[in-house]
Amino acid sequence: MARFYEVEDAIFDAHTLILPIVEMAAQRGVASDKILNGSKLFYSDLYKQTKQISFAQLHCVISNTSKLLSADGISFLLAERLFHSLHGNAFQALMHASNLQQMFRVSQLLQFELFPYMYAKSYRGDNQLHFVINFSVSEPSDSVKGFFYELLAGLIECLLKWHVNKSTTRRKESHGYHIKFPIAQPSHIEQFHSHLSYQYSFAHPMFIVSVNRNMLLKPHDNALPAMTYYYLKQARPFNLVIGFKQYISTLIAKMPKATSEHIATAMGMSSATLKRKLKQHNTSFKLLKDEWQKQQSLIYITAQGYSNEQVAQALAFSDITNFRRAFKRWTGKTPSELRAQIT
Amino acid sequence: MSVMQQSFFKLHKSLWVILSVIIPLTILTVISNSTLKSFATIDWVDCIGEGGIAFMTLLWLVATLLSRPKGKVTLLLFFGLSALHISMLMDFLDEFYRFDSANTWLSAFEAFPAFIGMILMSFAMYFWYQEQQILNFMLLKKERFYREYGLTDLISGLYRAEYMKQQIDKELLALDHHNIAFCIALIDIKDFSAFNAKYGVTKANSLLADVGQIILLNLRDTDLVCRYASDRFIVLMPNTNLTTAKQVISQVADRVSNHKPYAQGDSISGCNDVHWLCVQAQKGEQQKGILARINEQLNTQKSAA
Repeated sequence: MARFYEVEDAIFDAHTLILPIVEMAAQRGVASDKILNGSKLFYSDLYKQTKQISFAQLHCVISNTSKLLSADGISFLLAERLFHSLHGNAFQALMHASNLQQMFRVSQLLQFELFPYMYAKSYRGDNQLHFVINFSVSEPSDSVKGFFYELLAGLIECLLKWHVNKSTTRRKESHGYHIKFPIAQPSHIEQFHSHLSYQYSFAHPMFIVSVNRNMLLKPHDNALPAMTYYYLKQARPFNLVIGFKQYISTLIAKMPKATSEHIATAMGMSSATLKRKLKQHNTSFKLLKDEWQKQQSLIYITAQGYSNEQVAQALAFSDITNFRRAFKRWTGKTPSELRAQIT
Repeated sequence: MSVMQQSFFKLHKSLWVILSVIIPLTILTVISNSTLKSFATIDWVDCIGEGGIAFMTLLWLVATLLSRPKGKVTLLLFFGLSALHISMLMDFLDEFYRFDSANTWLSAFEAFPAFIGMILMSFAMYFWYQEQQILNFMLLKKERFYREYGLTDLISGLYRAEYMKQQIDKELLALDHHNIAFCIALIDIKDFSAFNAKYGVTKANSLLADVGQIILLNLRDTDLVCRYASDRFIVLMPNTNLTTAKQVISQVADRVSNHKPYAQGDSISGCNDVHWLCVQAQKGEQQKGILARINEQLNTQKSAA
């Protein structure tokens, strides 16, 4: 079995995301052929239990949807639908996790079964735990990114509501979450207003979910922790395969000094093949390395109080000037400007 | 959309039949009473012009039948446009045919249908105006000053948030320049997602449409309601102080919570209590700011309940 899946691999069930999207579009007067246009999918395909689609096809459908129904909040509605229709072992394991920390572990083990389109890495801050979230398979276009951010934010809202029965505690809990979107405030802000009860803000340099650390071990209502182990065993996380982009990013994080040739060798392919594959996934070695360094340095500076020397050393920069220049290029600010902004 | 067109196709079956009879009939009458012109004498520029006019009138005719319900106005429009089309068609055909000398009445008759048609259409326009007045009255609380059908939400039949944002911008201008106070209210259906999960999307959508209509019915003529997002509605109350606004909205909330939808013949109760909140716009406030403020207050109120 391959260690990673690529953008053209047909491995996702067609009915989980695309069928509800097509149905919701029809209710809003947009015909299925317009939504499926360019994806090489037909309406009848969606009802086949065995029909598998690739991330490229999903990308195409979501791109059409966000063009045709930009203000309808389809992403948030899809999150609700998805949440109410999930019932597999993986989802049960997640729902019965005794607390947030365990929930995150389960979600990492069962990433492919739960939400194979994106992945999270956690970073410990002084008072908060930060989850930096990136795309797993390929780098989507801007409109598709926005859709996925909203979808995930909607799912988090559903989980939060399910886990906290009492609305008074829910209120306190929702103050413990903060989602930072890496997009400008969208014109359909009303969808965020109506669907999300926790804090959120826009125009951040990366997609981050921050949670107060004192909430990590708080027991969940509605959860039967013993069931988590049962369902985890049932779900058998043998499928530890991840998306192509995630695979390379992980390698980069493991070997900060590696060049693209090193990565290619580690993956057992020629560097020309790696380059071609990266291009097919709408990214490049430089972009991925930049993404990792940018996110890492932001976390070091904002959450963990590193000095410039420490960051430059940790990220294998030859000197501090180089680091400062790169940081300015990624975020538009120098490290000291950013520090001044936080305090 | 295609469903709608199909049903309108069936609706005007008899008119479609009439249309498909009179067009061939006109062509046959002309052909049988005239001789074909020689190819060299045909004025092609004229052909394009007159043929174009005939084609456009036919297009209007089809558009009328596809878009309008049955009734007096539609009938008048249909016969008026048909008569116009006959004239234009004959005009077009006489580029190719010369009327026989025994049938000079035909060329004299050519313009006559168009004249009758225009009289019929003038009546149609008058009745259409009256019809529109009534429709405008019915849409009073749904729209203000201008129509922008692209902003309609198909689920509730109301305008979307975008339309409301434009109206709020206008009211904010009036507030800044002329000191005319206005209020905004949000109305949010309690536990809508639970209802959605329990009774399904179709029932949930019709609940949204119902609630939209009930709100519409219980507002004053000067107010405007739009669907904000999800299960949230937004009401604009121009020239209104906070006390009055609260009275109006509490009345509306009361009516909405008394509504009982039906599922498989049984009425569902306890599903449409609402959270609501009124705020008065402050001078110098921005539309984005006021919307963020009222939504945050409502969310706080919801979680405190």
